[in-house]
Amino acid sequence: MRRLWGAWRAYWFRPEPVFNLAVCRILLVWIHLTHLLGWNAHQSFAIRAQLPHTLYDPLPVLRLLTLPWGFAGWGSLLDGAWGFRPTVGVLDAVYWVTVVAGVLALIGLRTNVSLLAFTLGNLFMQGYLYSFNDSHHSYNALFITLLLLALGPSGGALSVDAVRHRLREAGATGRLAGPSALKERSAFARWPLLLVRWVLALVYLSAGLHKLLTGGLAWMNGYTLQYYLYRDGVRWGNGLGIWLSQQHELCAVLAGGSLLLELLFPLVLIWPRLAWVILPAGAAMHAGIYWTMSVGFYRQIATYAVFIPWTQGLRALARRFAWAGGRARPEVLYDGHCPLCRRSMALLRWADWFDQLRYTDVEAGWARIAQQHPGLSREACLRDMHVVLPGGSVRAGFFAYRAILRHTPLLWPLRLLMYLPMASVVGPRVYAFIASRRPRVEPCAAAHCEAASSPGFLPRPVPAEGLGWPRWVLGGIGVLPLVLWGAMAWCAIERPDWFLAWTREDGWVESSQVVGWLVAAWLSWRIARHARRLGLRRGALLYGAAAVGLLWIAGEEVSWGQRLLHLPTPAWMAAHNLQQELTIHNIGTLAPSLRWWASLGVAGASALSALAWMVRPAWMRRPHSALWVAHPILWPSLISVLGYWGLRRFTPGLSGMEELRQAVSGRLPELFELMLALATVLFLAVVLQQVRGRLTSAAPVRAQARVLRPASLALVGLLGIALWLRLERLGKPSFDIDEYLHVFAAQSLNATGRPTLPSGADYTRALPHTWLVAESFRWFGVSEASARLPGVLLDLGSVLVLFLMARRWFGTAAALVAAGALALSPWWIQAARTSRMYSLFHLLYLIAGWALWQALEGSRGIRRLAWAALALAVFALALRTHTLAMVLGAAAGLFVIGMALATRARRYVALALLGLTAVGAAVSAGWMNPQRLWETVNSAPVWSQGSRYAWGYYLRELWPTYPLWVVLYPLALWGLWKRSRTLAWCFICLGLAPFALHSVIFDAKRLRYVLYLLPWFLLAVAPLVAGWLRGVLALRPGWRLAIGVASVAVIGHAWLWQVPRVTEEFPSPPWRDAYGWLRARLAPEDAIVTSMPLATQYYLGRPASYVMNNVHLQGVLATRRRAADGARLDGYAGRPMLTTLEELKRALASHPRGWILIDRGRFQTKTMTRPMLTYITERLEPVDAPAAARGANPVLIYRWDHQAPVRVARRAEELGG
Amino acid sequence: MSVRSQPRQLVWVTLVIVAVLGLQVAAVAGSVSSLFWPFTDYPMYREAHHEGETLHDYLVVARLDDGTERRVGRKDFNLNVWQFQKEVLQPMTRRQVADEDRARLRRAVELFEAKHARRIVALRLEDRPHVLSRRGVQAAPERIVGRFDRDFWSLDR
Repeated sequence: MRRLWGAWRAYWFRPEPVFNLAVCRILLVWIHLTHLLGWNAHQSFAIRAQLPHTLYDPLPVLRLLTLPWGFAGWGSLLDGAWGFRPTVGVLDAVYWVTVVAGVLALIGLRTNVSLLAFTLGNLFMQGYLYSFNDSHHSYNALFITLLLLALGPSGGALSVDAVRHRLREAGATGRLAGPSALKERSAFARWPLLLVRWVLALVYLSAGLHKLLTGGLAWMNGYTLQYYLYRDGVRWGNGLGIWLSQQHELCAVLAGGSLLLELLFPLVLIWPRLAWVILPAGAAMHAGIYWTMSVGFYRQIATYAVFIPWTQGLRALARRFAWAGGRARPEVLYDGHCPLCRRSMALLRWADWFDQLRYTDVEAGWARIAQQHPGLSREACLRDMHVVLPGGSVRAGFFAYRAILRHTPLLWPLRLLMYLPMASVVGPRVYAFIASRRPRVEPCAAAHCEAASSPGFLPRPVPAEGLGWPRWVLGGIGVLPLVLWGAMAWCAIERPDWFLAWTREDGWVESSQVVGWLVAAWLSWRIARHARRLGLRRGALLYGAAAVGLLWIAGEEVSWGQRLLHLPTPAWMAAHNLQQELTIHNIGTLAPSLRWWASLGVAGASALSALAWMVRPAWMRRPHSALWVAHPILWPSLISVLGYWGLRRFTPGLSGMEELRQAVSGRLPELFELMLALATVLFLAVVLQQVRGRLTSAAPVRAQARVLRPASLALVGLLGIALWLRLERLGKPSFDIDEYLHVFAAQSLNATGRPTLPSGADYTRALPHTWLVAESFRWFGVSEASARLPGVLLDLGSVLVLFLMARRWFGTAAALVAAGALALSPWWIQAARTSRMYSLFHLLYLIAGWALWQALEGSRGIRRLAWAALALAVFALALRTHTLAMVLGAAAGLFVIGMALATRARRYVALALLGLTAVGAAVSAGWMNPQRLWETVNSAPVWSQGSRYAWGYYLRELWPTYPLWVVLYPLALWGLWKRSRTLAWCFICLGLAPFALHSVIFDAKRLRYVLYLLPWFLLAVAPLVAGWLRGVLALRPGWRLAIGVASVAVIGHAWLWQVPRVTEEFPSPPWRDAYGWLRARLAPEDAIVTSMPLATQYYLGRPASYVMNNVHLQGVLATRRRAADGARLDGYAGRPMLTTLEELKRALASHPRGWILIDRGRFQTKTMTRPMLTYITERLEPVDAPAAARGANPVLIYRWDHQAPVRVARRAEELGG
Repeated sequence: MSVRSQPRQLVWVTLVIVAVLGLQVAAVAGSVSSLFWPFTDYPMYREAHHEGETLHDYLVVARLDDGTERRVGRKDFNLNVWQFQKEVLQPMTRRQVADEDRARLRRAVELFEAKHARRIVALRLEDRPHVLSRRGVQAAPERIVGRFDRDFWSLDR
């Protein structure tokens, strides 16, 4: 891992001249700034402003940049409606801000900020222009390059910033601030340029691969280019393009060259010298495209600047023209005690790119000067700057400058000025005027100089004073309360439903308050103890009392006395307490005044503390001051408490919704109490830290924040990516069939305490998952995203547990490999994004396996018992989640028996276990129904019958999706066996044996059923892959990169290969869109026939009229109920089922109008009889509903209408007959 | 400047590098045109074409409410080339016309009528095709692709 990290640093962070970065900055900003200045932006914006709003579909980047305006949920950041469209005035303002930022970025004033503003401004404007169904590629590379330059030290050279830095350094310290601009190097100067090269390589490669994969080699047949040349030539009126399209052979050659160039472009990353061939060829290609097809990618050519070694080039140029090296250099003698002279020298040094001058401080080096140049006097040298030229001649004052400029090519324009007529007369006078008035400072002691050289006038940052906490903790204390308050306030205004859900009775806000007050009580108690040890008796007494008081407040919050003792609420309390509880703080008249007095106290304490910190009276230095004066770092938290009073008057988002506004207003005190609890905890934590510091008389001040270890960082990054992949558009797909079960059961659980489906049947399968969904609904409301959120979080837990397991067994590198593969597995991601029990079961199986290993082999003594208890508990929960958990019992038994057989002394244990198993089986057979057990394990729905008894099913499925793992797994097990037979046996029992069971015994075969074994496969393979990576890292850089690219390609291919299979395994029909489309056309009396009645209920808010899905007659939800007329009722929604053609005809005839909605995956003979299928397709009118026709499994809609003889020609008699 | 002296910056930059590469790879792998813009895929001009294939050069003719006919181009709709292609030509050339296509054409017609204060009664799409050959791109006989009256894009249909 360390080597990997070292290689990463060596590749991206090798020190390089910042000059290269600066040249790219100037070049690209200049090019785009000139474009901006020549562009009639206002007219472009005005034209777009006239386009209808229906055409406006803002790009995600524009949505992000216009936050918080237009925000309508996280999903809206990616697509869908967006409530904000910038006006022309806003766009004009952005344009001018961008232009100004561009000018600043060009000259390098506040370079990073101005360049970032320039880039963001351009992204905003161009993003807006592209938000009308019309986006292009020509600016992409430029904007990415500008963004990366803004994040790098591109202002480190050729900038006002660099000059200011040198002047400040020279003026304050006397140092001439490092080497010339050309030699200034930074470890952070390489990555932006290198990263742009990578992006460009990916861009060209993707363009080439698209052509190769879509068009094949036929793309180079000449006709293809003829086609495009002619089409674009006609479109843009380009005569050259039309002429070239007539030259077939030439077109074939050019097409071949272009494709080859795009495919080979990434080679410049491995062999940079290839840039000398590929870049001119690329520039020629873009120029040719522009001249013949009028497609301008000249900005992309400009980004080629990142490949050019500007510094080396300039040096070579300097050597060519003998500007640098090999000659004697003039020596500049300056007064080192004169700040103005030092600054002048610093400027000269900066401009002296080729080191043509030597600089000598007269005061410091007078002994040598006097020895080498006896004709010079010290006084004259201190009075005027002198230059000793290579021939020995000396120039002074104005003429010295004139001589110097001759040797600094960058300042040659100034030289012209100095040779103007009369310059020799005026120049010396100007020089004498300035020189006679320049200040001089005498040398001073080191400490004094250090103080004087402080660049700013601000006092040292107060927040770090005396606390000894790292910066990120201080930052967290300073920022967290405001962020929390801001987020809650935003929710109160924009998403009142969230706010109301969070602040409900016993919700997370109230629970957090209780936890906060309890923590505060504990902190207060600890402060009291420390204060007593410091001899601060009054403080100890007061903080002790405060601890008791805070404990009381925590109890008040949950009214625990009443809850624990089951006291009834007295009548007076019931009448006056806002929550009809036995608490004081909610008494009607008391509650507002309590808030008022608390706020007054907070405000007063803040003001007095601020005053004390500003004045710093003598008592502030005494130990007890820390007990009473709020540290400045706490001020944001105190302000956030007072924010409540502002928020009470600011709920514009709720205007016109009086009832909701009142509900939110009623809950705002909860926010006040939350912020008060947080502020109290932070205050006490800071006080405790200060008191502890004074107690030890040496508060440990950490000079540097703890550096995150690379592995932790990689894990955090991995988890971040994993979280993004799982959360991205989480709520977008409609629910799939199995998800409705948990959704309806969870809603019922919240409403009635029972997991009941609309049919009235209880749905107790995977009940733990239903509990989690119910809890998620309580916190985040009912939606697709909130139903799926528990699965996402549990899945992340699996990645984390896998990492910990792998790290314990095989080390960090293997752990990262295993966790990375799991985090990026499309199968695993899709399972996590489905509101089903799989993620929970995966996690439980993993934890149970680990705990089992720890209990049997990994620990001793009491810990072994603890692990065993954990294994049993998790096993029980896993069993409640999915019957597949029984596999774990079999695996554990197999493991124990195997281990016992392998140890001579334990063989009797194995025999005993086998005997016990046999007796257990015999006894079970007596009171259990083995036939039922067998059926439960082997319950095979009809749709899986095609693959029953196919023993090689999983291998056939896995080979194309996980070929690497299938090949590597036996090798990995063999390697593991050599290393530790116990561990290898564990892997065989927990990974391979269940796989064999699934393949041979279990009938129902789907890849999702064996997904829980994937972590065990990865655990076995990860050390092998990690070892291979170490071997690769030992290779030479070129090979390393080539193998790395090839590996990424192979793994990427395997990754991409799986995506369509995942879609096939988890098809999600667009029910939401289908019913959204239907809602606008549906009359109340219309009948609805569907294959998915729960979808109708969820998305349409009304029950389906009939259900047409014969699969519902089988399996766990087989209906056993019938309606009054004898019709079978569906087990999901309790609606009548249509199982025959006659029933279907009767239903159609009994309703004048209606709709049939079936997803394509269920429009087959497993779902309905063939006559029904034929009847629907031949007799009913298919409806063209674009919203329903999306995805791999679209919803098919048919309708009948007896009153529409022409449009829908089927009359009632015909349909009925 | 050494990275050792600035470990935190090193961490942030590493995250940026990974994020940028991830975005570009995601844009390419996911073939998404605008989700990660300016990180995008580059699938343009990817299809191969063969000898004998026809190139279409469409011409839109509008019949106005005063009975006159006139050729209309993208500027008449205040649209650029790409928008004209999507909003006007695609709905008229698609084999299976969807509601969305009709809505697009309706939107375009409304833009025309707002700009010219004239009502379009019908549209006619003509094609002046060319054929790819080894001797160059050869002209083929002109044809009328379709006629579209107001019912085609009307809301009342």
